[in-house]
Amino acid sequence: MALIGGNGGIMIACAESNVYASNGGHNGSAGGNMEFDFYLPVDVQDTVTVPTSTADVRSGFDTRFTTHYIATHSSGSYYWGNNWKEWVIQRRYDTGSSGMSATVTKIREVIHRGHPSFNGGGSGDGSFPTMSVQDADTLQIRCRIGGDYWNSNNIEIYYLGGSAETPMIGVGADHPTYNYDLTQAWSE
Amino acid sequence: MALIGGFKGPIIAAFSTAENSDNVAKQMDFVVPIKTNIDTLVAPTSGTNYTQDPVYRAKVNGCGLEDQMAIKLGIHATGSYYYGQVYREYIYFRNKNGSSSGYIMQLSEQVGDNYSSFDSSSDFSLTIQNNSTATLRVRQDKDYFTANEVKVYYLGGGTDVTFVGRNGVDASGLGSRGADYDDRYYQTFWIT
Repeated sequence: MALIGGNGGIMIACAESNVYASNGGHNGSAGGNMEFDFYLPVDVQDTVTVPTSTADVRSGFDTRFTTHYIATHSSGSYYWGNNWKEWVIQRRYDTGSSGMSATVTKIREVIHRGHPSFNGGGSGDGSFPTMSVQDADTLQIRCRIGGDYWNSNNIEIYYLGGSAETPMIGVGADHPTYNYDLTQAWSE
Repeated sequence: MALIGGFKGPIIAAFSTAENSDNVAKQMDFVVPIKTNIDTLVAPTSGTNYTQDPVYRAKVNGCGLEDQMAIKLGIHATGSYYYGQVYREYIYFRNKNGSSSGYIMQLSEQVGDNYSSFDSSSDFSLTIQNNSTATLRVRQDKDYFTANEVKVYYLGGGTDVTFVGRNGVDASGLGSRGADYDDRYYQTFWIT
């Protein structure tokens, strides 16, 4: 795996619009927003074995129900500025016909408009990026970027927490690294 | 040691004023991790539209640039005499068009169970001391001059992060899942 760094932060996707604008797709002309899809981790971490005994609280661990906390940093260098947004993406399952369903909610943001036209202008929140669920089954998320001049948009997407693919700490899972001093049990 | 979270929220700076004998407000400078590349990012050099590969973008001229980035910090400012606590989250922005300054934006604040004399002081701030070296300054003098503590947590962002997107070791081209890492973190890109 490629490491940009090792301080614990995780970048799960990134994009920069300049090359796309000059690489055929955008034809070097103004207009059009740019999109990309990325996937969120929704499986049980490989080294965790979910027990089958219903006497164990972990037996009901269901990866269909999962929450992801991510952040986006979008920036532009022409109508320049920076925008940080935090998002929660939730997925649930129902046994009826709808099956998997996921929602995207923006939690909060801060924006600095170096140029008054950056990302929608004015004093309010930034217009971009936007997030939408493309496929709940695989938790494929579609991100649309923009807000600056068509060839000047950048974005990084960081993983801040959540996920079903999280080591189960403190519940006695059979993992060689973690400490299991914390315990967990049923109560009524 | 209980390892909860796998070092995802390390403390990157801290101070105590217990030895503060001259009754002058204490502050601390620290450098945030934004430009220490630990490993070499390998980008594809061939394949269909390989120059649109996110990893190619990241390596050549695209993402996570040290002069156009954001990093998230959490700061817990506490005191033990006029007791109290405040937690704030900040975003530090850099932009190549504002390279001489940088920007600190406060994202949120939670105030704890504070004694009134702790609350009455507003002497708690995060500022940029040197934007070119990513040196920030935290100042905290909300409590009695020997009773202040600060802890600064790294909460995400920056460029000194693990990239779990597509690895370019296998030149796969846009739209392929042929790279050598977990393809659940697959990313593709197009124009609408």
